[in-house]
Amino acid sequence: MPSRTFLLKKEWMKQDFRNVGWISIVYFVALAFLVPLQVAMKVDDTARLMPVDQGLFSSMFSYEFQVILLFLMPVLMSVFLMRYMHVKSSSDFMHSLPIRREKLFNQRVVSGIVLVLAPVLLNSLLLLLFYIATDVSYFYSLTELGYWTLLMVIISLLVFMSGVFVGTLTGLSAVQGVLTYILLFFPAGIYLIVGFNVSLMVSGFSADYFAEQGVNNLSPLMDLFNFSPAMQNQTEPPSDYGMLLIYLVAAIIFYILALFTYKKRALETAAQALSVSWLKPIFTFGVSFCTALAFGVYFAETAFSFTWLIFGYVLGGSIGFLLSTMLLEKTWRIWHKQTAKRFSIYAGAVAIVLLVAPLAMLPSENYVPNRSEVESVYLGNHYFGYEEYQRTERDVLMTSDDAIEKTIALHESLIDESRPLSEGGRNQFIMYRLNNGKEVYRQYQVANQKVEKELAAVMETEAYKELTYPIMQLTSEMVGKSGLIIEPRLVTVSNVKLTESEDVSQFLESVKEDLYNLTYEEMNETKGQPSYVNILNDPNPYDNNSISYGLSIDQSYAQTISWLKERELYDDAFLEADDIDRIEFYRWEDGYNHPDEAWSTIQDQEGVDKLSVSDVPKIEKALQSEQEWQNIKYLMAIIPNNETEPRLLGISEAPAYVNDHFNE
Amino acid sequence: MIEVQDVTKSFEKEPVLNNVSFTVKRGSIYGLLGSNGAGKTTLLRTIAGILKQQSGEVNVLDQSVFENEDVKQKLIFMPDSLYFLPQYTARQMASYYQEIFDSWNEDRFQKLKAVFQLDENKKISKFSKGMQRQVAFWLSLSVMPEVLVLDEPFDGLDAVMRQKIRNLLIQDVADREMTILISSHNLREVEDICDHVGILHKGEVLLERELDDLKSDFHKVQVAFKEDNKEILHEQLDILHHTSRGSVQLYIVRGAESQVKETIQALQPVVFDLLPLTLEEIFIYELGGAGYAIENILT
Repeated sequence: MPSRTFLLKKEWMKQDFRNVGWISIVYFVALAFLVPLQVAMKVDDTARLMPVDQGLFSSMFSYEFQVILLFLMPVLMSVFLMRYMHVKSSSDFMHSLPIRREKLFNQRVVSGIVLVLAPVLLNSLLLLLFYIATDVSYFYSLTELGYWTLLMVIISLLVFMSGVFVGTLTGLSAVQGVLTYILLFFPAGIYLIVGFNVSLMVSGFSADYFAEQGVNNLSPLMDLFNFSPAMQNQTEPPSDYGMLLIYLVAAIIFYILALFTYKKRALETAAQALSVSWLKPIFTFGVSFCTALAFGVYFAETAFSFTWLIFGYVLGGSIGFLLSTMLLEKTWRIWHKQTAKRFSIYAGAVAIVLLVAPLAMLPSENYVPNRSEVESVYLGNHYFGYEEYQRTERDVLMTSDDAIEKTIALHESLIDESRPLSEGGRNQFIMYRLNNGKEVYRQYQVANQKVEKELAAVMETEAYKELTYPIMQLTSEMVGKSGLIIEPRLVTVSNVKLTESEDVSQFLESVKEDLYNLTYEEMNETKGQPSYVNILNDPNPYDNNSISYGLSIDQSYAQTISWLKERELYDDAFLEADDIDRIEFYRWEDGYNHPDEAWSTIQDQEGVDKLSVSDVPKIEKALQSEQEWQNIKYLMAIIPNNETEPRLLGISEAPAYVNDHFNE
Repeated sequence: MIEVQDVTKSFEKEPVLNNVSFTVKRGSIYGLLGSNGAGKTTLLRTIAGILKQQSGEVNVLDQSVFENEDVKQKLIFMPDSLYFLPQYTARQMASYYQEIFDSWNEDRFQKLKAVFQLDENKKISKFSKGMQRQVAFWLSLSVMPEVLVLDEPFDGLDAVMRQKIRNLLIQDVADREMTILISSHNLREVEDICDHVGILHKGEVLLERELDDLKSDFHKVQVAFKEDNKEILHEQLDILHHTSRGSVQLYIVRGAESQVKETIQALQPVVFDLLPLTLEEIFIYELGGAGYAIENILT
C-alpha cells in the first residue's frame, strides 16, 4: 500500500490548496506589485530616479509594505490551515480518519510551507529572469536578490511556524492570530518593560543600556520594522546573517514544540481559548503581570510618585486578570465567587514577584568599584552619549587616577542622593571599564546642586575635558586646507576664517588651554554672546559614525580672546552691541506659528505697535534673550548695521523696558 | 469487536464517563441509549479514536483504537452533526475517501448511487439536511467498514429513507458480519434494528440486554383471586411492581412464561391475563428510580 506511507497525498494537497490557496495567490500578487512590477515599470527610466542603495528593500519597493505582508500572510496561512483542529466538527472528522496525528500535522505544515514560500520564490524567479534578460544593476545585484529571497524565506518560515505553534496551543482561530503576534513581540516587550520597572525601583540601574542591549534581537517584528530605507547611511540589511540563522533555528524549534503539543492535544478543547490546561494559570499570571508592569511604568513616568506606581500596578494587574479570565471563559460575565478567590491568589502572586524581584537587585544598588579594579571611566548624561562615543571610535576614556577617584566619589554621592522616581534633576551616566574586561553601567537622576561639589571636581579634571570636548584631539593637520570659521551664534554679521596652518594651530592651542582652565561654573554658563568654531571639513553632522569637532566659545575663553584681539580678529569673531543697528519688538499674536511667518505678517500690516531700541545698554540686555517655542510673548527682530536680513526670535522673557512699553 | 473496559473521561475537571464497560460482539447491532448529556457522544468519540480516555481500555477489532491507523482503516464514525470538506461534492469526497481508505469500494459507491439517487457533482452543502445524511451513509458504506459507529444517525430522515438505510445496514451485517454501534436518545428509533441495548446514564452503564431475551423475560399479569394470595405470590414470583385496582391486581413479573402461568393457575384465579411488556415498560420497571429519570429516552 504505497499511498499510505507516502507523506504527500494528492487529494490532501488538493484540499489544502482549495482551502488556503487564495492566501498564497494574494501574497504572490501583492509581492509582485511591490517588487518585480516596480522594476518592470521603471527599468527604462532610471535617469530620473533617486539612487537606490538598499537593493530590494529600498523605499522604491515599499519596504514597509513588504514587511507588513511578511508578517501578515504567513499568520493568515497558519490560522486557516490549523482551523481544522479549532472547529469541533472538522476536528472530529479529520481525527476519525485513519491517519496518525503526526502525519496529519506534517501534511498541513508541508502544504503551508509550500504555499507560503511559493509566492516569494516565484517573485524571486521573476526578478532573476529580469536580471538575465535586461540590465537591472541599477535596482539590485544578484547578491541583493539572493539576500532578499533568503530573508523573505526565513522570516516567512519563522512567522508561519510560530503561528502553527500557537495554533496547537489554542482552540480559537482569532486567539491564535492575536497570540501569534504577541509571541513575536513578547520577548522584546517584556524585556523593555522589565527594564523600565527595575529602573523605577533600583537606583542606578541604566534602563537605556539594558534596553539597547537586546531589544531588537529579541523580536523579529522589532528587528525588521526598526530598519527604514528612508534613513540614508543605514546601509546594512534589515537583519544580519547571524540573526537569520537564529530565526531559522527558532522556526525549527517552534515546529518541534508544535508537533509535541499537537500529539498531546486533547481534541475536546476545540473552541476553547487555551487547549493546554496547565497553560491557563501561567497565561493568567503572565497577562496580569505584564499589564501591571506596563501600567506601572505609565503612571510612574507620568506622575513621578510611588503612590501612582502602586496604583498603576494594582489597576494594570486587575485589568490583566479580568481580560485573561474573560478570554479563557469566553464571556465578560465572570463575576462569581470563584473569580474573586482566584483574583486574590493571582494578585498575591504578582505582588510577591513585584516586591521580591527588586530586592535581588539591591546589592548592585550600593556597589561602587574600587579604584584598583577600574581601568577607565566614561561620564556623561546618558547611555546614548556613550553609544555615540563608541561609534566614533575615539579612545579618550578617563584613565588618570585623579579623574577615576573623583568619579568614584561622585558615584558615591549619587548613590546617597538619588531616589528612584524623582522628578527632574539631571541624568548622570557612568560607565566603568574594569581591569577584568567587564563594564559596569550606572545611571542616576539627581539635581546638579545636590552633588555639585563632586560633579565639579570631576568636570574640572583634564581627563574629563578631553573626553567631553572632541576639539581637544583636533590638530591643524586634521583641519586641513579648508580651515575653520569662527562666527557669532546669534546674528552672523561677520566671521573670521582661519586657513593658514600656523594660525589654526595657534588658535587651537589657545582654545585647548582655555578648556583646561574652564571652571565648573564656566562650563555650565554662557558668558556674553557665544560664537561657534566651525571646522569646515567636519564630516556630515547627520552621519552617525563621525565626530563633530565644533565648539561654542564665549568670554570665558580668555586666552583665545586675547589671541583674537592680538590679531585684530576679535570684532569679527564675536557679536557686540555696536554691530547691531536696532532691535524691534512686536507683540506675539496667537495666530503666529513661526517667527518668520510672524515677521512677514507684520511687514504686510500697517500701524502695528512696535518698540525699536538702538542704544547699546538696551541692545546688550536684549541680546541675552533666548529663542522660545512655547508661551511666546514677543517677536524680536535684530537688525544688523549692514541692514542684511533681520534675525528673528520668538521670546517669552523680555527685558523690563519691553514689558513696560507693551503693558502701558 | 468493540470492547470498552472501565473507561473514565472528564473534560477539564468535569467527569463525563465513569467506569464505563460494555462489549459489542462481531456482527451485532448495539443500541446505546441515553438522555441528553449522558455521555453518549463522548463515548462514541472515544471509541472512534478521536478522544483519549483518562483510564481504562477501548479496543476495537482487538486493538487499542487511539492513534491506530490499522484499526481506523476499518472503522467509520458518523457524528451527529455531519462534516464534509468545505465546498466539496459527493464525487470529490469519494476521491478523498478513496485515497485514505484502502478498502474503498468504487463499485459499491456506484451501486449505492442508484439507491440514494443524489447528484454526485452537486456541492454537498447545497443538499438538505436529510440528503446530507444520505451522502454520509453513501460514503460510509462505500468504505466497507468492519465497524460502523453512528451517533444519532436517523435524525432528519423521512420514514422511507430510514427504512431503506435500515435495510442497507442489516444487509451488510448479514452479508459480511459488520458490527454497528448506534447511539440514540429514543428507544423506539432503534428498537426494530438493534439486537442489543445498553443504557448510559450520567456517565455510567446502567443496564445491558439482549432484546429477544428481554421481551420474553418480563410479563404483565392481571389477576383476581377470591382469597388474598398476595403473600404467596410475593414469595413465589419475582415481582418488580404491583398495583391494585379494586379486586384486580396488576403485577409486573420477571421469569419464564410457563413458570409464571403455572404458579398463578395453581392458586385458581378468577381473572387471569398474561401480557408481554413493551421495551419501554421493561426499562422503567427494571431501572426503578433511575428508570423514571430516563423515561424520556424510552418514549
